[in-house]
Amino acid sequence: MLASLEDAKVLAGGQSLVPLLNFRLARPAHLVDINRIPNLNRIYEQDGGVVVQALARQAEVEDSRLVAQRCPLLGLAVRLVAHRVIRNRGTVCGSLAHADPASELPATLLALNGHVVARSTRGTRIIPAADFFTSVFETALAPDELLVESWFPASTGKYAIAEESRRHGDFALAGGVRYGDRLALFGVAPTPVLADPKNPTSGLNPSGDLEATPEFRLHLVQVVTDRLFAA
Amino acid sequence: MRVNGTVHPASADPRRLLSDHLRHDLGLTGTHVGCEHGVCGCCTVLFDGAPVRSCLILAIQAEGHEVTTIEGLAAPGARLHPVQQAFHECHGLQCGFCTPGFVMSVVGLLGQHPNPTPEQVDEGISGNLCRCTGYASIRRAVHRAAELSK
Amino acid sequence: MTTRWFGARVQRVEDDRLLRGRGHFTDDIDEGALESVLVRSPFAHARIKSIDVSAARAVPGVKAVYVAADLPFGHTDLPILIPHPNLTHGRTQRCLASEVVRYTGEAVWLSEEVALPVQLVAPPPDGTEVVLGIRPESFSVSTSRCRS
Repeated sequence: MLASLEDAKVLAGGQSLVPLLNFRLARPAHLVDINRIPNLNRIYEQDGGVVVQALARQAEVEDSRLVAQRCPLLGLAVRLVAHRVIRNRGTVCGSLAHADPASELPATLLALNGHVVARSTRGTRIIPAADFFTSVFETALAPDELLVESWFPASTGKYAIAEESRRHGDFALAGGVRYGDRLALFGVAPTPVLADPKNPTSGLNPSGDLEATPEFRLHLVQVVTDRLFAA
Repeated sequence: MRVNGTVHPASADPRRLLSDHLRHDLGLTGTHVGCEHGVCGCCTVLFDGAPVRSCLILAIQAEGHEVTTIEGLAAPGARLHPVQQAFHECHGLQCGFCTPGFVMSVVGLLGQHPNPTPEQVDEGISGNLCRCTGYASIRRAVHRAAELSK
Repeated sequence: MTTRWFGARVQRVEDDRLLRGRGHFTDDIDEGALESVLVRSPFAHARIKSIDVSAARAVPGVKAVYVAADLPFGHTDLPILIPHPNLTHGRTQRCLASEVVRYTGEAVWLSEEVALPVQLVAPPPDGTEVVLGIRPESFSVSTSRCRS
C-alpha cells in the first residue's frame, strides 16, 4: 500500500506522529495504520540478541523477560522513554523510524551495532544502525518501505545508559549509551553519534535552543560520559 | 467500539481524535484535553485495560477495542472505585481537571504494581501534571488506593 | 467559623462529581457554540488597500467572516470606557483594523468557523500599502466542534 500512495506516513504507536499531526507540523496526504497487521508484534531471540517486530509496544519490551536476559541494555533504555502510559502504545520500531535526535532507542541500536529490516514490494533489506539514521527525523528508509523489525545484539559485558533532562520523562538535553568501550551520544547532533569516551565532545556541534545552549549540552556530554564510564 | 461496556458506532471522520470523539460525539466530557501532545496526562483512558493518551489515538483506531473512561470506573450511583475513594480521602484533587487522567493512570499503575514502592509511585504518576495540589496529596492517595484495593 | 472548625478536617463536598468525570469545565459545555479565529496583521504599520475574504467564506464549515466594513461601528474608534480629566488625548482601537493597521498582531478579520488556521499572504509592502489575501490551499478544516 505504501508503494501506491504519494505522501503517506505509517501510523503504528502514533506517540510521536500524532503530536506532529495535532500541531499541524506534519500534514501527510495519507496515514497507513499498520496496527491491525497480524503477527507483527513478536519479541524473539535471534543470534543471541533480540528481534523486536514493528508492533511490539515499548511497554512489552520493558516487561519482556527475554529482553531482560539477552539484552538488558535495551530494557534500561526503553524505561527512559517518556512515561509508561506513552510506552503502552509507542513502539520500538516506530521510535527508530521517527529518528528524533534526542531519542534513546536509536542511540542504543547504534551502540550495540544492531540493524533494522525494511520491507517493500521490491523486497527486503537489512540496514545496519550505522547507515540507518541520516539526519534529523530522517532515515535510510525509502517512502515505500516499512520498518518491519529491529535486531538488538546481546548486551553482555559493561553497559549503561544515562541522560539529562529537565524533568523525568522529558526529551533528553543530552545522553549517552555505553556498550563496552563504545559510546553513542544522543541529543547533541542530528543523529545519534559514536564518540570517543576519552574525548566525547570532540567534533560535536550541538544546537542551542530554549532548553539548553550548545555549551551546556557539551558540558552535559562530559557529565554523562563520566557517569557511564565510572564503574 | 465499546466504551464503558456499551457498543458505539465508530467515528465517521478518520481524522477525529479519540479524545474529541469521546467528549463531543459521545458526550463523555470526563476525559479532558490539556496539551494535545501527550505530556499532561489529562486525556488518559484505558484501552483494552491499559492506560493510554486518548489525544494520541485516532477514534477509528479504537474500533473493535474496549475503551474505559472515568465515567466507566464506577456505575452512576454506585460506590466509588478504590482509586477514586482514595483521592477523595487524601485530598488528592482541588479543581479536578487533572483528576480523571490521574485516576486512570493510577488504575493502570496499580494493575502493574499492586504494592508500589514510593519510587514506583513517583515514577507512575510522573506522566500526569497537576497545577493545584503540589502532588504530595496525590502521592498519599496512590498509597491509600493500594491499601483500599486489597 | 467557630472553634469547632479550626483544626478540624473538613471533607470536600464536590469530590464525587469531579471524581466521576462530571465536572463542568468550560470546554465541556456544548451549547452549539461556533469557534472563531482572528486573523492578525504581520505588519507593524501599513495602510489597508483592500481585503478579500471571498476565499475564506467559500471554505466548507465557515459560517461567517467579518471585516471592519461589515460592522456598523467598524470604522469608529471604540469609546473610552472610563474617561478621566487627565486623559486629554485618549486613543482607543477599532474592533477590527480599518484603513490602517497600527501594530503587528492587530486583528484584521474574524471568521466564525470550524477550527480554521489561515495564512496571510501579502506582497512586500509598497511604501505603506498592503493587500491582504488568503491562499485557499493552505486551509485544513478539522470537523471537531461546530454544531449549529
